[in-house]
Amino acid sequence: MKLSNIYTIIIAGVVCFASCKKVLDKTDLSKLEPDLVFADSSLVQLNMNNIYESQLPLWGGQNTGSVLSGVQPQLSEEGYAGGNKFMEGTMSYGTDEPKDFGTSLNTSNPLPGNNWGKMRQLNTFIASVEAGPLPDHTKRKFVAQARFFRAFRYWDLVRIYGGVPLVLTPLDGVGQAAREAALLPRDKTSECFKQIIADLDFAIANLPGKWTDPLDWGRITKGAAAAFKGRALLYWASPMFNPTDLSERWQAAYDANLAAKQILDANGSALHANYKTMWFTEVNNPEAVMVTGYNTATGDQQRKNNGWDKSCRPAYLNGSGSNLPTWEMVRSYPMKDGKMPGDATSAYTYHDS
Amino acid sequence: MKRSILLKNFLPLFLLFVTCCNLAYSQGITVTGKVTDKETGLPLEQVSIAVKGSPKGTYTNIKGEFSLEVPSAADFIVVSYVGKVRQEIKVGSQKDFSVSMESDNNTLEDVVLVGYGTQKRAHLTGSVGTVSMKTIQDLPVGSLTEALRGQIVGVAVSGGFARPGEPATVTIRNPVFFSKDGGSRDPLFVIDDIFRTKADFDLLDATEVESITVLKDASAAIYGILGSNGVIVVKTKRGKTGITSISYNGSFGISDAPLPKMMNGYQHAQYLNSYNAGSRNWDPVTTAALPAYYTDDELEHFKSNNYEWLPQAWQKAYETRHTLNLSGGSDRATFFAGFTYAEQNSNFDGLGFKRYSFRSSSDIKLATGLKLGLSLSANLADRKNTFNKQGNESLDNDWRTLIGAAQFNPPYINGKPILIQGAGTSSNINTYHYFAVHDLDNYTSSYNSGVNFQAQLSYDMPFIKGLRAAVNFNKNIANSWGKQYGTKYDVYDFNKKGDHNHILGDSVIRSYSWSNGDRVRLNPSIIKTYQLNATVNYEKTFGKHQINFLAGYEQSESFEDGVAGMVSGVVTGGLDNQGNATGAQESNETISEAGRMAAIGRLNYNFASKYLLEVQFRADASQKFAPENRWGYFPSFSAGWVISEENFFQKASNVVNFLKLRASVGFLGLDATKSYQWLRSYVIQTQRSAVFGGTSNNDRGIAVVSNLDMANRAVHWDNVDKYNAGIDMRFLRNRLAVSLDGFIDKRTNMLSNLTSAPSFLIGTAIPSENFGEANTFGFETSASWRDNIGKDWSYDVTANFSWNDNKVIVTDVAKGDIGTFKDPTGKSSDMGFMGYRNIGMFRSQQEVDAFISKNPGYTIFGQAPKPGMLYFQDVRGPQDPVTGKYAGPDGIITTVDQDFLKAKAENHYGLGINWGLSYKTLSLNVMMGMSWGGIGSVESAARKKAEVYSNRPAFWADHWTPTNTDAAYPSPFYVGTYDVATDFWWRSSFSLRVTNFNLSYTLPSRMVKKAGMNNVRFYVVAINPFSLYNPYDYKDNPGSYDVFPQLKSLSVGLNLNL
Repeated sequence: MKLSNIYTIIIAGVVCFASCKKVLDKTDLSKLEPDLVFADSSLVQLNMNNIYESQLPLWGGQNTGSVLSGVQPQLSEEGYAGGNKFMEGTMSYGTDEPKDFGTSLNTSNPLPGNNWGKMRQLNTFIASVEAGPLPDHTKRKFVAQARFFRAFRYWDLVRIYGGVPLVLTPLDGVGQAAREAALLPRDKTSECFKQIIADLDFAIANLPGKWTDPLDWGRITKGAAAAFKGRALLYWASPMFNPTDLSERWQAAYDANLAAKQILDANGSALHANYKTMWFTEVNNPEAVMVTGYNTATGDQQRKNNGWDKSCRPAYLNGSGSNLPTWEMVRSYPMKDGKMPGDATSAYTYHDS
Repeated sequence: MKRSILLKNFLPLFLLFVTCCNLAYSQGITVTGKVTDKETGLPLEQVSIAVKGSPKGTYTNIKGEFSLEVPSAADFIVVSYVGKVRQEIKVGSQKDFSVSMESDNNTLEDVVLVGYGTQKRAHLTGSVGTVSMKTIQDLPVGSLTEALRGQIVGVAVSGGFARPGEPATVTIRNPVFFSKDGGSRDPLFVIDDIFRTKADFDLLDATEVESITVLKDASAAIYGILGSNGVIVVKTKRGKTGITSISYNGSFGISDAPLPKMMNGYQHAQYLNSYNAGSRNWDPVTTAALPAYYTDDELEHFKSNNYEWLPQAWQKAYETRHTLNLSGGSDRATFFAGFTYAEQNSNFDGLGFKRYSFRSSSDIKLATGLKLGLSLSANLADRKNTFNKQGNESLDNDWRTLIGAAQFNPPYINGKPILIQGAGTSSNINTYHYFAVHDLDNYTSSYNSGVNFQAQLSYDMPFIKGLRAAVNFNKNIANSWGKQYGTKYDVYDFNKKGDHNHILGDSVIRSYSWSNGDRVRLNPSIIKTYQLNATVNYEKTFGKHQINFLAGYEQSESFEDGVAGMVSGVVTGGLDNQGNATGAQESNETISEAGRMAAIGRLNYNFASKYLLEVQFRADASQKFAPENRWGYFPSFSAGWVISEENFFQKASNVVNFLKLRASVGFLGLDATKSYQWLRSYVIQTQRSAVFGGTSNNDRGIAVVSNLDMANRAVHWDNVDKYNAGIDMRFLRNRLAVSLDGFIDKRTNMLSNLTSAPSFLIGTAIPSENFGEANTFGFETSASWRDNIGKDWSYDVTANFSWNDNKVIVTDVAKGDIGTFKDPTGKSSDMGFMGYRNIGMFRSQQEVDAFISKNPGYTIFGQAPKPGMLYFQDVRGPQDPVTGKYAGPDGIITTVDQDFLKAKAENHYGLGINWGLSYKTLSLNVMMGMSWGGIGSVESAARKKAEVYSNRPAFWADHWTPTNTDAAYPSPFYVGTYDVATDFWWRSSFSLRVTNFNLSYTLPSRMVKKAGMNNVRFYVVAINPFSLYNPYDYKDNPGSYDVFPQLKSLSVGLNLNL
């Protein structure tokens, strides 16, 4: 009896050692491995949807939470109750870092908060898709959308700062050597624009003119990429970047804009017939080139509501009355009888003060 | 005929049998004796005299005499009494015994629980502290961690004893860590040799615990990776041979807290008037024209109509606790069973915490040398809190909104909850109406249950004496059921009266219907864990040498799975389940698994209890790291020299009874990071996808988002090298005990997340890297004295003094901070209080003008100085972006003028004084704590400007106005100049509090014996009864005024032993 007890203990020990390998072989159960994601085109599509969410502009300009990212009041003397340091020229080092460029390492992955976090999101996507096993034409469609956004991002930086470091692959950050290598200098403005145009050309070549599925309304089309190329080249030709007024830049801008108009016309874009109902047509609105979509859902997980409309509506219409038009804007619309203000034949007496 | 033959033949046998029996019976020996106390010589009553191995026994009478039938001369009688050393005396030929019982003051013979075994206290070479279970068993605490407060030097307990069910936190020697994603300062909790969580430890009741030991230094190395922050080793009670003993301990108490003093309605309105006046430069005409200005008739109204919201919601809370323990058994098998019930309701109606636990164990001798121990325990914890989804879901929202309610608003008008004025018309944290939400009975509750089964089998090898093999298996299943229920409520806006429409009238203008979460959310989860230990132990004494060798293997796995399922759109007036909700449904699952493996070895050697040596080794594998980096090797060495055993020391041994020097060095490690930092990963999430397909597409869809964008395959465990040296001394017949310890922990390769140093072009968070270095150091001393005065009085005093600090050697520093005053490299993590040096307050325009003439161009954060403002010292100018150096004083106050105003911001010095006094059977124990050395400051919540909807502490009533120029506090309008960190707000950080006191009385045993009981004791326990020094005039607690306070409580209890 005593001996069998010894045997039991020994056997128990042996069994433990035999199964000991399994004890440490654990995986991260609720996460997806990159290899799995980029081998399946529907998972890549879901990743792409996240990229759209993070890259598309919002009401108020670019999606970076920055005071300087293009909301017109901030960039004009019409200011801004709290003072407009940018316009006043009183920005100071150490207190007023521009937030769109980014002043600290982005730490939020699903929706990066600054331009460089968004840039990495795009570079990782492009690198992963290109290294993955999907068929070529599928890959190109995905990469085209990502490269459009990369051009969109760089243009957002270059139009304010000029040349910026061109980062086209996800940088490594582990280890002192990698961190030193990430301290890149600024590239020339011309190099930056060259990269922007190259990305847009790839997008134009590989995107459809129109997405067939109505549930794809809101994705980037060939026409949108072409129109954006036109805008970028127009800036490149404008006095801000073209002080010596080189005429070939203007020619390039004209060519790009013309090509864009042709692509858009070929795919059904035109001016909307009715100015009044134009604002109530969403899907397949002929005037819409690039859209950011919202919905009217109310549940926490489904909604992405648009509050801009409420801000523009006056309080007596249950709006908040925050956004007010300028007097110039009001004057450019006709009176109720269809005649412009100040017209002598108008039924309304018009006072300009 | 036959009958007579039967009788003839069997009668002799029968008679023989009877005689034999009689002989056998009469072989029983009657043993008598007298028991006295060794120190005083007086007889001891109620001493237990039992026959070893049998339930037979008796107790001594008032004269200390006893008489007991013992089966044979070969038996032992066991003499035992609380507080005395237990004795086993062989009966032999002696019939009358004179037993002298020695007080177990001489705790050196105590056996102390250490990792994977026990050791005599005299032989300890590491820094180990033990908790006296007697002092903590009466404390009516919600979690066992709170009971550890002030018990052991170097162990700091904070928090706890506030909201029911919210536990305290404990740290050992103040560890430091940099990792932002996985480190913790919690020590390791080991219960019955099994690694358990802090939640398991908190659910234990003090009466089911036999002993608690804290391993502070390298002695924790036996626990490898997990022991670097110290280890708390717990042993639960098991059965003891002897008479079945039943013990009951129950208490009932009331807890309350003094409420902070806030401004009343009149003072609050005056404050707001001063604020508005400041915006108009104190011009009375323009100020009085502002619609926000409170006119005189309104102020008069508020004087007589003041509503305090918090006292209306606040009630005294009660807590009750009942425990019942049974223990007994014979030599062959012993058993233990314990039941506990504890309940705590809250000072806010509707909150509560209930805890039930059951523990049973049995130790059985299966065969010679083969022992089996089984134990089964289960616990239930039921926690309920109000569900406040106003902005965030913080539990403190209820306290915060009630204490901050403006007192000129009544909570209800005609039974309808008001719309809190001035904070908008939508639901947010400022419009949160506590009473309206509370009436909804919305709750967030959790019902946790757990079962734990443990089996230990040990076998003493017969052929090699001293060799024992043991297997220990533990299985734990913990279930949690969480539920949240939130609905909708209405608030009403009333018409306004008063000159400026600040008084609420009686008629309703409109109502608003707001959502308080509007959901039913269920969150069940299960955690399954098992641990298996197999050890071999060899103990041998040859001559004066004694060795003890331990080798073992340990493995554990755990699996966790939980789901959160939520339905929104609750039906008004329906029941609190998902069948009564009509909105969107969603569900997501969290699932994870973990595993651990280790090999352990330890060798203890001592020569004549004089020279002590211990060597420990552990090889640990953590599944958090990449396969090639999983294993870590952690050795430790410690040695001790008991000088008092030396021959040359014998002359001094009358004064110094015991003197031991010890030192230890251990190389431990820590894996303070998230698992799988070496693998890139993606995850599926909602709310992260763009909307496509137009407004009518109400399905936003899920997105695959990046979870970990950059991986670090090389990440591995960090290193913690612990060095400790100590002296233990006992003097004057063991009455005075002194211990000194000095330690330094060198941490290298600390897992850190770099965010300041890397270029932001990288665009994502850097994973944990083994990067940081820091040293923690300090010293601890503990001195205790116990003595008797005459035969009735005795007293004891213990003082624990500790100091600790740290030095950061390598850490994440932003490039612009390197070399400047903000650089933390080479300094303590507590660099001091960073703020503005306050010079004074401008009290009149003349003062301002005089100052400006001496300091032209002086502005404070861009504002020109005005009367009523605080002003600060100009320290330096802006930083040059090229060189990184700061310029000299530039005559204006900006953010660069902050400086470290005092060496330390936190109290690094702590002194705990525990003393006790007893007279016969009445005893008093008091625990006090003192700390100093840092900065105390008025908290930032109290410094903020008050709003129409949010009140502030009463000290703001004395603020600067042109008529009150000598005020203590500045004018409210210049927020930017007073709501900053500055020494104007400093108060003393010295704190001296009585942590708890316990007054207990044991009834005379004569009275008690008549009722058939062994021991009856009444006690009164007070927790946080009072603090002896309070530098704040508006609050009593050291914490912020806008969080739930620490409670004071008074309980009465009864302890019965049958």
